[in-house]
Amino acid sequence: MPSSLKPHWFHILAALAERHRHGSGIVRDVLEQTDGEVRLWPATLYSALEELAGEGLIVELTGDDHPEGVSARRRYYRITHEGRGALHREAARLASLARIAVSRLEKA
Amino acid sequence: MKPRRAAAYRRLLRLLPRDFRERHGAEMEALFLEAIDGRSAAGRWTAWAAAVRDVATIAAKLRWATWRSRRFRGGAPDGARPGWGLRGMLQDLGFVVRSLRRRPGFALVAVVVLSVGIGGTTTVYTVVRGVLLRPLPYEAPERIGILWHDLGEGAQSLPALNPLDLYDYRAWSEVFEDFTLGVGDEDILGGPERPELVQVGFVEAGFFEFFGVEPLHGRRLVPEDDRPGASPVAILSHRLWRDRFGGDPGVVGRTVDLGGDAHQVVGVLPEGFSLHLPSEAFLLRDADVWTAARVDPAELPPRNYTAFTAFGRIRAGATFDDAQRDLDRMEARLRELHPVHAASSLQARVVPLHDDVVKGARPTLLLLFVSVGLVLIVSCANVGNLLLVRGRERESELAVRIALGAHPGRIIRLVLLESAVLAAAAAGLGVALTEGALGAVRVRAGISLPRMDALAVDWTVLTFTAGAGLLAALASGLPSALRAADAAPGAGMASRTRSRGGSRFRDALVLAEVAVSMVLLVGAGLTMRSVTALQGVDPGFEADGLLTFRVSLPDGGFPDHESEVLFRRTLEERLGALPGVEAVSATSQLPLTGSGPLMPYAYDAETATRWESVTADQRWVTPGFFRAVGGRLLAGREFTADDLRGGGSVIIVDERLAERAFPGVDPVGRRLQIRPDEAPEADRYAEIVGVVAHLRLHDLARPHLTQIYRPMDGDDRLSVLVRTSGEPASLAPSVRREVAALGSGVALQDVRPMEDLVSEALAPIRVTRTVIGLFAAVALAMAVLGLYGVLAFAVRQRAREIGIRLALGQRPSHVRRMVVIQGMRLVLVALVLGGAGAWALWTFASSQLYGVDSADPATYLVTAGVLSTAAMLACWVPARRATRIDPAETLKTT
Repeated sequence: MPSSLKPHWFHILAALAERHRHGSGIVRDVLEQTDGEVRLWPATLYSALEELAGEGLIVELTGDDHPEGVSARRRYYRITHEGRGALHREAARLASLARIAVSRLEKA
Repeated sequence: MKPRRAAAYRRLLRLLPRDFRERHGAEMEALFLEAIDGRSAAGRWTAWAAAVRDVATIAAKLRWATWRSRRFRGGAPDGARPGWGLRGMLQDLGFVVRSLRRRPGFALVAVVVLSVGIGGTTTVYTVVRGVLLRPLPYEAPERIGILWHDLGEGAQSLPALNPLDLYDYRAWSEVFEDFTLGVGDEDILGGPERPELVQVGFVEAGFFEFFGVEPLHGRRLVPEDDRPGASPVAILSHRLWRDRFGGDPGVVGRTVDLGGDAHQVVGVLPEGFSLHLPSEAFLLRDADVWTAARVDPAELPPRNYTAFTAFGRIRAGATFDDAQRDLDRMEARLRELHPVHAASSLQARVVPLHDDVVKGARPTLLLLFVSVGLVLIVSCANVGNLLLVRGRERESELAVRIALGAHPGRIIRLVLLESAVLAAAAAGLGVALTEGALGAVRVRAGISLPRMDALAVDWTVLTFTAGAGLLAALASGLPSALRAADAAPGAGMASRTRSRGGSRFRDALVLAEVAVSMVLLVGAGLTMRSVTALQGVDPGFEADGLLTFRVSLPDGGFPDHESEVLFRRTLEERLGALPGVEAVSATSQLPLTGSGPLMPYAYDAETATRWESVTADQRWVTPGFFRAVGGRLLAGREFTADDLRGGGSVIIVDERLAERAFPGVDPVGRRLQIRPDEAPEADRYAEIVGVVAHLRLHDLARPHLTQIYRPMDGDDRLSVLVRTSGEPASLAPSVRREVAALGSGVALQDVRPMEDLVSEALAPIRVTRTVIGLFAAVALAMAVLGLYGVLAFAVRQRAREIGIRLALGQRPSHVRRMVVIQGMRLVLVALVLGGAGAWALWTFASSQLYGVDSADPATYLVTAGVLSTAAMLACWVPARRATRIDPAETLKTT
């Protein structure tokens, strides 16, 4: 079984899988997707972003890549190919775990 | 609200490493404000809490990562970095030693200051270890317990019982594997030619086996020695054998005269053996001569007469809780079987012997240990400060080393190595100080702690000293090391010279020093007041002008009671005729010499049925005792010669007994029951003829049991009190002469003024006061020096600023005030912190105080006053120096 991703890494990658986002966008998306359960606090968020970038799972967009009409002062992040792969593996791992649990629960 | 929130969050972000903060700070701030916006007050608090946790966790993680990467970054390709091996260490060591030798004054001060802390801590630790921690010198000492019998609430509670009960325990117990018992008395050794009053221990045959003691010469006691009617044998203590028999092994087999009976010496005990007992131990003492108790169960008094001290050894693997449960079960059975035990609701307890022996010394020693630990803190803070100032002076040197490629870690190591070298030298000096202090402690009379004689600096103590030294090295070196670490990575020279970090460290150290001094000074003040209060206590007797001694009459020369009475009368007459003597009297036991025999009594039907549940201290006294001892007769009269002839059914009681038994009525003329209901009617009661003020016979600090005084006309053992108008000690030769003239073989002992006994009773608190006073003085001196050092340094640093101020026309008095305020602000904070610390410590240790509250405002105010005055002086000198700065000079040179 592949090793698991840290939960907040998973959330961040999931948020970036849809589209490029800046920090605040990631926080909001994660809040929405988890029905307000998970709030990424700033230091956790930015240290995770640095780590994800260090692992090559995301990249920070350079000035030219900013979406149209968006100020360059906010930094945007994009998921990489490797990042998608990691997210995919984690999703599959979680899904298989969930399947096991569900089947056991039905049997009982 | 928003700008304030943002500012607060920005302050929080300072926890993060600068580069991270610079990259993300602005966005983080925006994110946080977004998160907190629109929340309720409670929601805002939760958000703040989450944000603090968030930033703190990440800051710790990032800083740790940076530290690790810095440690492992760069260097030689194989990972070995130059200068980190043993060779580099030795190089650095050489560098440190050389640089210290260039500044011998600095090194000397630092070593001496640290050695005071380390030496003091080591000394107190040696005592704590010797007295509290080292096991008793017996076989498996951790399994030996002493048995206590408590008879009803507020009544007799003694480590004493009747052998009949012990025989039952021995038969019934499931947890104890062995018991032994003994009783003690004094007797005259040697007959008429060389009479000497010695302590005798009467013990069961298995006593020495129980404690695992092998005799040095001869043998232990055997069961044959212990049979009723067996011929008496004696085992000599090492001390007696050495002092009286010249250490001659041939003494085994000889006979000695003990109390008029020939005893065959069968053994000599080894030097290391002494019997350690709790201070409450009843009759048994560490003895000079040991003999078999030869108890005849048929001859024993009823079970509620307790005179023997009993010890139990619990099985290996059992706990004292198990033993107590075992004892509870057995004691319940005893109560069922024996009405006397039921009546007094007997409670049996087993206490680990070691705990019982040291329980009196424990609080004092722990208090001293805490105090000396505070002194160590102060000395570390002081040296830490010296090192900081020195580090400041060396900053450019270190900067050059870094610029030349020295690893920052190695600079830190260099700084720590310096403090380690100083601490090592200080530890050596500290051990020497300890040896000196222990020597002083050993010879000082008046300090009596259990096992004081065996104190020594051994490997465990040296290990402790090494530990204290290491701690001192770290504590004193750490501020400088942190400074070096802070300054090291890439920071420019300019930013370093302006940094406030160093002075903040120094301020904190001085603050700690002053606060700790406050704690110790308050302690010194409180103990001083306790001593004064204790000295001012009215003990119920007047010690000054009183000479005391003890005499023992040999059975040979004084065969019957009449001869003893005659001796007592003649002695009193002859001593009374000496010039200056105002009164002479005799008693069974002198004040402040431990417990006397206890006497049960009853004053109504209820206390009569619970016989033994109410007890008094019983003393026998000759007529004129209260006049001689300086007691106060509150009602009725003293004993007279007629009372002695009348059969002794009269008593004098103390005011506390009178209040308890006859509240609100005049007790004189009333009868007190002094024998149980079973006794013949005629012997059962005694008439109260007088009431005296309570005499503090046990403890100067507090009243003890109620007291019953009974008339005595003579005995073979007497404690004599002589009241004189002159100097009591000068009367001693005449006393010796008179006693010697009254008969051969009379042993005279302990001739000394009553004042000596009183001052012995005050010795523990006096020692505490002196030692804590000493610690406080040392701490105060160091704190004042530390404060002076910090301010003097600050003035030097600010010389340029002060010069400009003066040049611009600011008045010198203003500049002085500025410097003094800078110092006194620190002192004020320290006083508050120290006061709180002192209150906490002394509330915890309030059992060590007498007649003064741990929060006594006067003590705190006076202490704060003393400290502030000293601190003011320490501030004043640099302040004055500041105003002497020549503006032109400083502006030119800096």
